[in-house]
Amino acid sequence: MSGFRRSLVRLVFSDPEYTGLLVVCKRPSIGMIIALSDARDRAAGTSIASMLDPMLVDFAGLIAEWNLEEHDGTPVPVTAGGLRTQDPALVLAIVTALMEVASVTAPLGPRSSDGDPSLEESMPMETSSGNPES
Amino acid sequence: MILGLCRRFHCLPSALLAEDADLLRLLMIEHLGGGHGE
Repeated sequence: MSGFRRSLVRLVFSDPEYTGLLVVCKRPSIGMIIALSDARDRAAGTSIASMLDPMLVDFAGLIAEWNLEEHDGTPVPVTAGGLRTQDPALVLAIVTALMEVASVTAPLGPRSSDGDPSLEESMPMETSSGNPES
Repeated sequence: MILGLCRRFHCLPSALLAEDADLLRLLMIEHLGGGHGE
């Protein structure tokens, strides 16, 4: 019997600077989202890298694959060490994209209509005949 | 927020924090839709 695996999520980057960057992640837990959000908020004005450093191992563990390469074409390893070598802005972009996995873009779409009345309602009904056995 | 959700789902914070973040999406959709939860 084969096991069950949760689907992975492909991160979407709104900044055109990261066009072509592919990052596929495992689905984060609520605890991870809260910790990342906290780190991002505390990093305002300082370095996201320093705020994220204590949790880089866990964060790197969420990343299933990416196509990130060094300037010489060497693939960057998907590890905490690999993340540490990267531009803080890139790390922040990945964190932000990961947090958007758990968010909803407001406003929601319009409510769906109630739909047409069901056809069963318009079916002619006959009065049932008496019980033939009685 | 954490304790409120724990009361709502009858679980410990450790279980809540380990839960998939999809739950946050559902809560947000409920909030945006004007729902007030249980």
